[in-house]
Amino acid sequence: MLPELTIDLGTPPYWFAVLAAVIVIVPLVHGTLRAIVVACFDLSFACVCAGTAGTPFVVGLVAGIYLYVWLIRPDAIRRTTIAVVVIGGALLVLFVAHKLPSLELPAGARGALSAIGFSYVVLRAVELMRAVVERRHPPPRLDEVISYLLPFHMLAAGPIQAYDEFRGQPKIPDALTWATALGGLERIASGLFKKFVIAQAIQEVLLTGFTAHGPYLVVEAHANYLWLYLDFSAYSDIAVGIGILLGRATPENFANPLAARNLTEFWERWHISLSQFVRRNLFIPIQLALGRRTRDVHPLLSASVAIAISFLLVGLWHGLSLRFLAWGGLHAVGLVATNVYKHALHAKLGRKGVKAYLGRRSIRVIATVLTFELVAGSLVLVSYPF
Amino acid sequence: MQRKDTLRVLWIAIRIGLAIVMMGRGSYFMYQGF
Repeated sequence: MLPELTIDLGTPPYWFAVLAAVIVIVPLVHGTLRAIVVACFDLSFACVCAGTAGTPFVVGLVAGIYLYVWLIRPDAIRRTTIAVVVIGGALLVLFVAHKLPSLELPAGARGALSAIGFSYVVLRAVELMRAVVERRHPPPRLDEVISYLLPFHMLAAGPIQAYDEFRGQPKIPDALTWATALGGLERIASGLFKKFVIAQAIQEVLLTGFTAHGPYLVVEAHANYLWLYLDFSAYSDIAVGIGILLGRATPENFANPLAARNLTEFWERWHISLSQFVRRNLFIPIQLALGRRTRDVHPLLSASVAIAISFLLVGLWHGLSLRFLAWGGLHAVGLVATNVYKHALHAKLGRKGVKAYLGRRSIRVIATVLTFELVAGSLVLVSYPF
Repeated sequence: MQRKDTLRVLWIAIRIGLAIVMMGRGSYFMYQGF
């Protein structure tokens, strides 16, 4: 019987394993077998995270996606349709199972789903499956499927790399220079410091899990937003830093979201890779479909409906519950209102007038504070122990 | 290595060191349980 070996994402052993992995893999980066070595490493890392019981599941998942790639052929429409429905349906079922802990799953499967960050894996799978069926790139090899679906440094909390970006990166990256290496190490150090020192201090000193009532709820709502930003962006910093050291394209995920002056800008600065995924795979296709159906008579209405559907689904992606649906709905309402307001301003003031209006310092401060408060409040909705 | 780089390396080492010390405190958790 094999000994049980697991690494829990988010725990110190995980981060030590990641650091050790960087030290081991960096010298291998420029070899001719780079892609295969990296894929073997990615798969091994995912299997260790999933544990002995979860390894068959991880291997099965990769095999399923690779089978999909193999089944998709331009001259076999029926086979392609069956592959999309069956493999896509299986991923949807697994996603629902992952999000509903009360459902019974085979031994090891639930642990494996959590260990590999299945919420992120499923979005990468959607990107890959869509690109393959649209034939935007040549069919990926097995090692490419593994490295795209299970990049070890993006397992914990993304980012969600666009498949086009993954395929667009050079096969052999530029040689690592001292300046580049230092830049990568700085991102890793910044991420570790943010997560384990600042975010942890906020958590220990200020957060009660919203069990303290009265005026402290307001303080905790703000601290909770700040903590979440530091903790979440720390993962992304570490992933980007490791990506720099390994020469693996890793998208930026945050751009000072606390300074956003409206919800549209917030989603351009917060979890950027998710926003871009939603834009590519939900918002634009829905908006185009609605535009075709209505002959573009009501573009603002089409955009509003596309935003609403997209963000309700974003809410459900975060959690299959009414509170996350409400959170997604709140952001959808905010985004639609922002869009409508922007159009109304343009209609009333014209382009130059809007520029002057938005450039006013008082307007910027009020808008930024309101956005901060709205986001902090919306996070209470998903964190408060009702 | 220039003096500026030495300071950068030192600051990197301090931050990683502090993070490792704090990791040992055992209070850690991950974003939203993804």
